[in-house]
Amino acid sequence: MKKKINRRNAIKTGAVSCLGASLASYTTKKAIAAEDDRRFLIVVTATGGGSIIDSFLPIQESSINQPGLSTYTSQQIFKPEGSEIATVHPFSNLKIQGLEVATAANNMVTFLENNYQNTAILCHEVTSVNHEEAQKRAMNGNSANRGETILEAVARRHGNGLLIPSCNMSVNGYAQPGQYPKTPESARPLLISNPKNFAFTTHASKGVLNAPDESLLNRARKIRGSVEKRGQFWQTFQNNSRLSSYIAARNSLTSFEEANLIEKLMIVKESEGEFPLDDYGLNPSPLLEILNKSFPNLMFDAIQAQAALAYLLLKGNISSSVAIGPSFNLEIDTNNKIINPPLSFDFSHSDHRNAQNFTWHRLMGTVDSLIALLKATNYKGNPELGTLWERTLIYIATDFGRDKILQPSGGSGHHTNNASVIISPLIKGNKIYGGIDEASGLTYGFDLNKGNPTPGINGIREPHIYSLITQAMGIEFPNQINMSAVIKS
Amino acid sequence: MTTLMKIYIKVFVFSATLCFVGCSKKKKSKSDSPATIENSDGEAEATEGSSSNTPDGQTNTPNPSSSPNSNTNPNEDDLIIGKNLSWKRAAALTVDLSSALMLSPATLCNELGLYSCTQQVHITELGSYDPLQSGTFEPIQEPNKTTPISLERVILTACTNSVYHSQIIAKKLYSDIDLSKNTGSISASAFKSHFTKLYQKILLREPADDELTDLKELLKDQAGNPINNNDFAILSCFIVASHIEGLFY
Amino acid sequence: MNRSFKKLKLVILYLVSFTLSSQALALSSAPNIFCSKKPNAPDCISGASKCLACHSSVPNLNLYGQDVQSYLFKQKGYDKSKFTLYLNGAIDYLDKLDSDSDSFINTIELEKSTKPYDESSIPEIPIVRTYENEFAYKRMWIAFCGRSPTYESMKAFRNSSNQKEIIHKDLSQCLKSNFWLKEALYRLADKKIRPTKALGAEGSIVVADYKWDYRLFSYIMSEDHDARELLTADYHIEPDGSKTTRTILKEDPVNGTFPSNIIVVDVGQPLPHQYRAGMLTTQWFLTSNTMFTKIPRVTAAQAYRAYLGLDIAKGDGLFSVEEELIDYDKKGITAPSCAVCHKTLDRITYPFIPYEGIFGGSVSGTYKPSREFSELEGSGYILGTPTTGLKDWAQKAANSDEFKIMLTKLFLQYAIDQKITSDNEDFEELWQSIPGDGYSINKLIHRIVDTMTFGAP
Repeated sequence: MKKKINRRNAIKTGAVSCLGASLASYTTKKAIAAEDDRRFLIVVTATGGGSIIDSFLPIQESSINQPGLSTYTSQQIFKPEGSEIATVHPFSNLKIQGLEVATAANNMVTFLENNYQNTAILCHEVTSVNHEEAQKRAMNGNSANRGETILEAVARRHGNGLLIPSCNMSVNGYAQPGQYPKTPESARPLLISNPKNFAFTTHASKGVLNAPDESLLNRARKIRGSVEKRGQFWQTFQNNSRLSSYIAARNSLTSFEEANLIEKLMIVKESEGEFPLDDYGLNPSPLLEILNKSFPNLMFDAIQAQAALAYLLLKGNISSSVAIGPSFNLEIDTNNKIINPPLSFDFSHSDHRNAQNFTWHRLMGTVDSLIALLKATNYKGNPELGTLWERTLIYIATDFGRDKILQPSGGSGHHTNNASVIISPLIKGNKIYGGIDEASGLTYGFDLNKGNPTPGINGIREPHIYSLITQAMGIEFPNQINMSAVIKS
Repeated sequence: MTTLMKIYIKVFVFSATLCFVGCSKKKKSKSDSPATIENSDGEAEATEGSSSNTPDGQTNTPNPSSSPNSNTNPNEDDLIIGKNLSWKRAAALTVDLSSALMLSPATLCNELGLYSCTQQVHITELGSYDPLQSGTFEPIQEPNKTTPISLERVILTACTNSVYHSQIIAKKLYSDIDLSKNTGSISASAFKSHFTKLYQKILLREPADDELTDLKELLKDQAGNPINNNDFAILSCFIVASHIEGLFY
Repeated sequence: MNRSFKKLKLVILYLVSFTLSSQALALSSAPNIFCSKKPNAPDCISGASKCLACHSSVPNLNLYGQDVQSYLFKQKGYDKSKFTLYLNGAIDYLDKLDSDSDSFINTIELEKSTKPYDESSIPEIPIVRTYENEFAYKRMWIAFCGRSPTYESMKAFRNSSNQKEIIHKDLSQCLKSNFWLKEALYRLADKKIRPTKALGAEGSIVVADYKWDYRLFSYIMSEDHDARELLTADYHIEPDGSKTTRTILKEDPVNGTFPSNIIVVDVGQPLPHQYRAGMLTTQWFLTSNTMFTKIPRVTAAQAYRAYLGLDIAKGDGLFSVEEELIDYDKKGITAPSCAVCHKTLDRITYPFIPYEGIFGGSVSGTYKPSREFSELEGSGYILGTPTTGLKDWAQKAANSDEFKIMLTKLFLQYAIDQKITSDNEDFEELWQSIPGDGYSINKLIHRIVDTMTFGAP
């Protein structure tokens, strides 16, 4: 009798070994090619629904405005010289539902001054006003690409050879994996719930007091591998997909350890009683000083901590796509002042204008600092390869828009009409694609051939935004919409 | 039972594992579906009812009422043995490790001595979540890329703590090893007794002889020198506690 | 060099003899002999060449043919003149072999008309797993007690002749444990309650206390309580575990006192019991979902999703109502792309309208028929059936198949720590058993641990 083996095993083994050889050479070639044209995507989520008419398409108040329409005085609106895009100053004495907020720097203004040339506003309608579903659609273009999220698509194209091709620090629908079954496991984003803790998850022994040295640990791992294959458990479950992927991840954990991510990604500073790194033989990131200058509140502001980690992931050539964004949780600073209102942008239900104004400024200030760092950093430290920023696209994703006409209480509900903000040297910036009907507060779209506005018509939906981003990142997929009008040739 | 079926059953033996076959698309009831286990000659032999070869030589009795009647034709994938495996997530891992290593959950593992490994720092990687802190309402479905690292880190810390945290605990847990000696030989009987204790506490069974043979490698380092007893205690705990059989079920 | 040359010569000789003997096997009578013995063989019924039963292309042998050859060469006194004589024996002998190593022996393949020489050609015969008591026992402990059994209890289990009884006896204990009642059930409720710390009783702007929701959920899902009360209960569970139908206001001692820097919008369960519909009308559910909206679509959509498993955003549970869709609150819902969902969504929403979310200066989460559009309360629908109000809506929902399916999916997926597929072998039987078990979740769980889905590795 021939050797009895599981049919699937046989097929798998054969297939994998054949594929292994060809894949090895394919991925090597691909990796070399990708090295030259690697691009990076950062998704920044305006969790809860960031309203475009309260950020980058403000409507100047006039006598014809509808009562309740969210408008701004000419003094409140700012437009840098040469910019086609405007924004809103922070409100003075800003409070959210009467609660004290942390000092709101003039972040949107600074952001726009620094970045208007690379910023595009894409007016659109979305197709869901359910937070979770709308968030998912913002990430997967309403299943434009067989359900693969934008993070996954970029990781698949640009993440070859990287330790963690994609990371996701956002929440809820933004953090959901895509539905495309052929997305490789390696391109599935790693969820990071707390960027300050993440470094600890990248090394099994460094910083563990009294642990045996690494060579002994590696020896123990090897022995464990032999022992595991002895028992009945292995015989029963060796082909289990959950176990197989766990073991595959375990087999590659030394690459995390060898890369010393536990220190490279350690964004907390030595502090007795809070982060006694030294006592545990650990060091913070060598770039911590730079990070603290750019993100001075990163110890208590989650978005700043996320942005700091995102920068390190890109700079270290560890990830190709990263998502960051506020959660729905209230965050307060050391003076008990609000940093993130409860429900983030969705606090607009209670206090639309203050919540929008404060949260947009907070978010865009962090984005501005992040871009400044990317502009100052050469890809792989090599000036000949250009800066990281030259390879990066930032997508401000939002659940949906808000009601244009505010409730008497000052609150707003969810609305499908809105716009997305894209910032990148890869696109034709300093432009509003589409426009706004100042009487209704509703945005209208643009024609896809030349990017000219189409007043009264807004045919731009989630798949257009998804297609635009993928196209700018050099990714093709079936039924991709040609967005060349927005992309630099 | 037909001869055809008997032959068919014989062919479908997965090496040391149990494998059960039916002859028709409609699922057979237990009594129609005898199990087979391989004897030492590699030949399959039929046994009565559901059976599993447990490490201590016990044989499970058949389950008289476990077969649901269903006329559906499930996917073949659903019928392949070994498909059904759960992941022991943060909460159960914490309780099991604490209990096995005689440490309270609070002292099991804390990053920098301050932050709970299983409830805070590694909670996502260990397959759990805190709805109030993270704003998420479900855990990750599958272990992710850093799950093995987090698991090893938590287990290594816990094992290290079990050796160094309290002499009373260490003496009880590692009674077969003289932790006061830097290096020293461990007798064959102490070695077996030590691993038997760990296996029983963590894997709920005794170690098999071939497993013990493999584990003997732990007595020395790469260069063949004996390792010190504390390292041996920690790493023996680490090997058993991070064994896949203790992390999945 | 000499040895290598000799080896090469041997190889050449072997190849020559192999080819010759292969040709010898290709006797014209062979296919007929084979097909008379194996009429269902694919190469006998396909109409293509019967030679393919043993040859990949004459004279080359396929895997089955190689086994025939191997058998023949082992027979004492065999030569090609005896081929026909020995072929029958070869075919019989090969019956129990698995020539292509696809785990299906040749006789099965030839019976079922698949190719015994091609591993990708296999019969459609399912491999039936079996229920393993020890596997189920450990799994039950971890899932429902939150920890593994001890070595001692596992040993006793292995030695027992009543393993099934032990599983159920221990399960009954687990279902009374703190782990199950205060941890596991709480986590199972998270997606339904969706707590936001900042707005709860431990937050900085208190709009309601979701701990009431967790206690109610855990109570109804435990012991043998009727699970339908998730949608129909007119009571709450006090912090001490007792049941009450009283209204609980902000000032009630049970709510405690809050520091002065905390804004307390409201906290308690102020809704009179006659208007309560279990988890759908807790103060947290109403305030966190309805908030300030007049037509609380988010509330209804969450109720539909959390308690009937139907997500309108995904196109689940859409039904057609003849009546015209009216855009009462001017949200643009009659646009064709919106109306697809809103024809259902608005109708399931109307019964929620008189239930207040947050209203400045007033009590949150109570019944207020003066709310705008409250006249629509009786125009609602659930699952295509008209309803007279929220209590009727909830009653019909609680008795629906969708509710039973939601419960079964929730607990089965939890038990096995995996998503189940729609064709799961046990699923239908499980959810259909719920009414007969008096909607007891404990009984459902006892059934779950008996299934192959739970107990077969």
